[in-house]
Amino acid sequence: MRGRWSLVVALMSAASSSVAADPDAAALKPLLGLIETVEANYAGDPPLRRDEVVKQAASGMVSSLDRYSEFLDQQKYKDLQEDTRGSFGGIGIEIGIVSGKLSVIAPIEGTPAFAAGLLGGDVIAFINGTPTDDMKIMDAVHRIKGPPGTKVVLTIQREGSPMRDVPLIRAIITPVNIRDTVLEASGIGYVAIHSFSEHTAENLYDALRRFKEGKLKGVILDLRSNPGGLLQEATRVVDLFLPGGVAIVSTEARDPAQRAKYYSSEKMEVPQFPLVVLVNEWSASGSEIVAGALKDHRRAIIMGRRTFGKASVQSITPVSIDKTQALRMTVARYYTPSHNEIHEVGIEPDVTLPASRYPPGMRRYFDESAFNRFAAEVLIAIGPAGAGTVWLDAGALKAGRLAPPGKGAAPEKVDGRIGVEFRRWADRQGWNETDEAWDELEDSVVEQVRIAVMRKVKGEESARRYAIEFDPQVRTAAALLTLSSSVPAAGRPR
Amino acid sequence: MRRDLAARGLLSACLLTGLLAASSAPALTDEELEPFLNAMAEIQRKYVDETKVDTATLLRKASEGVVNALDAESLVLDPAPPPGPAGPGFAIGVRGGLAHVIDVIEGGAAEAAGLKVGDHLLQVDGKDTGGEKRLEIERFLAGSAGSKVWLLWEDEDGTYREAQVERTATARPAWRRVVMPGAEFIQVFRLDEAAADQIRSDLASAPAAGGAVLDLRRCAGGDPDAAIALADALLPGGLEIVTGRGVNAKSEHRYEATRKSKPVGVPLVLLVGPGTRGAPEILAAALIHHRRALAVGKGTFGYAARQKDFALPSAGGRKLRLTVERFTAPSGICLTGTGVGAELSAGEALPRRIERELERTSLVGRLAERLFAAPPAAFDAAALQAGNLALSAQESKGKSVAERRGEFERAFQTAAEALVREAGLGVSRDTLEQARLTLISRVRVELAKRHKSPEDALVVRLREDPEAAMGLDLLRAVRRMSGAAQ
Repeated sequence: MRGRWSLVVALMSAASSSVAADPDAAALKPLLGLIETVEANYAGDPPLRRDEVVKQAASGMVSSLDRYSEFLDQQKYKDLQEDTRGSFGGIGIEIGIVSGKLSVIAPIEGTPAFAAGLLGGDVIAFINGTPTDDMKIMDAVHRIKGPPGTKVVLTIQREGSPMRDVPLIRAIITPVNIRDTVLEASGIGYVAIHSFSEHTAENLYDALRRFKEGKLKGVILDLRSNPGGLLQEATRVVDLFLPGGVAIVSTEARDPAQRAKYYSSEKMEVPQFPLVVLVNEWSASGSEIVAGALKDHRRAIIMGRRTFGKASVQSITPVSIDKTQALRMTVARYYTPSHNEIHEVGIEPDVTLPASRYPPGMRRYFDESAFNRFAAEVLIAIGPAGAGTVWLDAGALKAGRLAPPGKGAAPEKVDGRIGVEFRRWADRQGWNETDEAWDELEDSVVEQVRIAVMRKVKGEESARRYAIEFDPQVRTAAALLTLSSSVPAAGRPR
Repeated sequence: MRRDLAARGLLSACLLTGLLAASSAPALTDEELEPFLNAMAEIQRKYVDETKVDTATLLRKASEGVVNALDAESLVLDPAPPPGPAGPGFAIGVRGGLAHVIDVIEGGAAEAAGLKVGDHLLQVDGKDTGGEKRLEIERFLAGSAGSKVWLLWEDEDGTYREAQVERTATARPAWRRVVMPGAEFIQVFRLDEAAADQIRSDLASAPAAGGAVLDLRRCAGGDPDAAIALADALLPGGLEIVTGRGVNAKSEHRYEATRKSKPVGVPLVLLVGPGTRGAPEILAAALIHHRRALAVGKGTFGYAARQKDFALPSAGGRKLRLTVERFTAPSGICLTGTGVGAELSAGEALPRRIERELERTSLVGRLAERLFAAPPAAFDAAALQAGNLALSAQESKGKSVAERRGEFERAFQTAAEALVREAGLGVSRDTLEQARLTLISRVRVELAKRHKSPEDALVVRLREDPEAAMGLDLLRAVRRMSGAAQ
């Protein structure tokens, strides 16, 4: 597959080959005097080390450039390498703070955590014997991660069970940065790219192949909240959708090595579908390259919200002899094929959709895991109690769905009932909502309850899929693709 | 990474001649500077925007990076004098990058705008205070008398509030002595050398039987040496006053009481709170640890360190102020961050909701006005004209102390309810009930402020101040016990 990318120029530069002339000694003197005075006299707590002072000087200098430029000390550089490499040593869980406690959000399938049976909602009370009470989330992440093959012990507290130690052997974890599924209701392919890291384009290619086998009517490429990542990987994604030899993006820079025009490659057959790209105000950088190029070439309909507007490219250059510290700096700005300015402007969608945000009142329910608890304590509990006599279909419930019993009953009635039951339950928890507040929340609550039931019965992966089906922006995109496929010839790009 | 070593050699030579007198650190080597110089070279060669990469700007920002990483008291001093002697009337302390309001001057503009101790100051005239040095924020606040400053702050409930406040000149003495019946009462606003000297001689000459209250609640600074000297005068020789730690563990210094003769023996009560910051915390920690004084109030701010100024010859002679010594209390607790706890608390203030209600309706001022203008029959009209609030002789006749108090509070309540009703203030009965004792105190203070001399009004204010009153009660108790023992 690599051979296909012959025209794509690598952008991320390795270590610089030489250093420009030193700033003259006289100019440097005040800074050096300052550093030495501080080091010799400042009563730091803990005492300040010399290399830290030099680092602070470098950070201060870089901070004057722009908000994407940063001096990376040992820890930051390591984190960043993991982020972009797309894999690291760990156990494979997402963690978060739930109701004030460090908790497992979800284990990732096929990882040590998954094999050990960790579940979403498990509280991590200790990591290697260290209590997590006041631990910051980044600190917890650093403690859990480590070289593959090494051991970490989590002390897990699960509701209704005694505390237990779970020893885990770390493995290479490749976080999922791309997910694909086929929307059941419409038969449309759906791919979400969470960020552009190594193998993103390759994974997308595989997904498109699978879609081809399924003879799908169209594809939704979801770039919402995708902050970017590797520029090269973004150009490869665009390349999958364009014929050979057309412009993808160009960069302008002071450094000649950073000036480039990217063109699509001549390539083997890639399955082509009518395409909708979903973006939002947090789609940035690489996402904007993809959306911008596909929009300029009229290869896709861009739907959603105007994008973030970060049209710059950063390079990462090691600056210490041992290559453990680095400079991330903006070295180029990029432009869409029609030379549209993206910086601070963003990409305007062809079709602007209303922002899909939860009403603010939902926050506390998420924080308190209310939907998961309601699903377990109420809905699933009443299932076995005799589904025939209640308002839920027992068979559907076993499959993780909430449907009315018997045929012909209107699903809206079930929605209404879920709302009533949830509100009653929430009142008992002391979360009394006014009628006005409830009106605003009800739809989102019902949706989240359905997702929580699916999560409880079928697991995280199914719940995610279910959530995508329910997403109003995804539904709109699917409706557009379905409509265009029913119109002969029209609306079919190429 | 290839470097031009000849140029670096020259550079190192220049460095050696440019060293500061105070510095004893070896000059930075090529290797140590490598990450910095490489980053700088990369930026100058490749950064996308040419207008941002000139050497002077980059180096200035680098210096700022070094200084910003130090604590909030370490900074490069602005050679220009502060923009004026006046301010909005409050003091701040910086902790964890946040500007905490630690003292609000009574009767000042900030108090009138509703600023409270414990609030976080977020912006001054649109400038963020986050991460700023304390002296820089104080510079934002300072100006000429009569000029206005806009403040944005976050109160204890997390609500953002803003106000435009007029600056007034608020020159306070470093300390002042208040004549209170039965005890020496000294308010300290700044514990510098002169204040410490004078306080020492005041305490030495105070009648040992009386005792003294040292009010440190509004003392947000001073000189560590003055605090140590004052503690020295009050403690027996050989006891640890405080331990200072400098640039590393080797530079630790234990300050001990040196006195061979008997120390000043007057019984002492300290009043402390979040407005007690710096040098007075050293004094309080030592006196409390060695049981030389009782402390009343709330925990102190938690910052005790010594700063020293260094000239930066190669930076136009500007001065760098650095924290050179951090202090640890005799208990082994680092004062910075922890502070000193008070042993005795005078109880909680009114709930904030009620505080707001009183503020919103200016109830204290209105009540004082009304009682003065139209004294209710139950109160002594002549006393009111003199700024005192008391039952009339007729009402008190033949009644026990408890009955008189009950009578007094009832009369006050009736007057307050009548005012609320007539002026349509919308203050609930429940609020009046809960706030009654506080209201009485505040109305007394207000009446005294309006109708008495400043000296007498101050005495009333301290008498009505729960913490000061508790301090005086404690001294009375000490007197009684020592009297009983004799």
